[in-house]
Amino acid sequence: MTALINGSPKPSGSASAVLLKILKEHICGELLETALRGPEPGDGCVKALAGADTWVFAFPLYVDGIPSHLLSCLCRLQGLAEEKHPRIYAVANCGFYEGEQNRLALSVMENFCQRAGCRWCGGVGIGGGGSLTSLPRVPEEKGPMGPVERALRELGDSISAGAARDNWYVTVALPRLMYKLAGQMGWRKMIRANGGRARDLDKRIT
Amino acid sequence: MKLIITDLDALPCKVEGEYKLIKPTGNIRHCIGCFGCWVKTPGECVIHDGYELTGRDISRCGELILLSRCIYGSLSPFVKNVLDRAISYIHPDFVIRRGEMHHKRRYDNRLNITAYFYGGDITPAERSTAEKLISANSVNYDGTGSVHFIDSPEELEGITL
Repeated sequence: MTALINGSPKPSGSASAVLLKILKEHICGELLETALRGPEPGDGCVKALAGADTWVFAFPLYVDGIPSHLLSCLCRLQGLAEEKHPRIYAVANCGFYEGEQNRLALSVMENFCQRAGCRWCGGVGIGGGGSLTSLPRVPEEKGPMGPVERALRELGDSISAGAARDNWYVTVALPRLMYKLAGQMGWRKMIRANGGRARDLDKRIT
Repeated sequence: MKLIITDLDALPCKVEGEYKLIKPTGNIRHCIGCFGCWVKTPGECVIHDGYELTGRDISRCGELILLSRCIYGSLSPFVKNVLDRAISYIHPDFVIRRGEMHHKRRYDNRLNITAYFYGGDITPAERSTAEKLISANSVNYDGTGSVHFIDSPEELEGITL
């Protein structure tokens, strides 16, 4: 049994949910889905993880590492991991363009595995996370999502085979400048939707 | 001014000059990834639990001191939570810094981050991750950083931060 764990604090609309939805298509065998949205794993989540031999975490990068609520959950799940020795994989995504910026979050996951005595089987770091909920999926792993789709297929193959591999990194197939400008337009649209002005983005609290 | 963020109930050492201390009070909530601190109330977290103005507090300091248990090579959940809740210190817009995408500055202060990681059994891999994390944080904040490892907070007794 493989447990897909959404480690985003968002109840809906997260990039992690998009990534898990794609990944799910490439995993053979029984699957269960659970989420860690707060600092403590609920009883339902713990029960689900206790019955799974493979744990796959998907989460956003927060301040160069894993979000604090997920870190807190890992501390509480260490005992279960020590007992069950699951294979552990991870999918980290960041709002920056470069997937490599997820490398330290994946290192933290690997260190958790070392502490718990379970097997780190590798993770993928995905850049361009700000676009993942809005980019269309194009057949045959083409289009801007192509590299992400490919990486998730490869990860799904590893999970299905119970195989380990080194961490690897991808980003969406968009030019960095285009991604940067689209992001900046997005922030302006969002602040206007909240009744503010674009220049309010620059506000300093003194 | 110095800003000290710790997961300890009390500092084991003295501090020279003006400082603000952020420590656990039992009621901190976690970042929910809403970006409200950028697009609803810029500069301030929308969760009002006493930790909503840490971004501003960071803007007022020259030295950010982190005193934290080392957890899997990361800052501890509390200290990490405070930093997760303080992304309003930086601006949502992107800049390219050292060849990678980062966030633009919101404020003019130049941060020097000093991190003290404590723990009697920190592994070499955790140590390496922690060093790289503070270095990455320093680039993100467009500042500088240094890291120290100690077995326990008591080792800081007698020193002045």
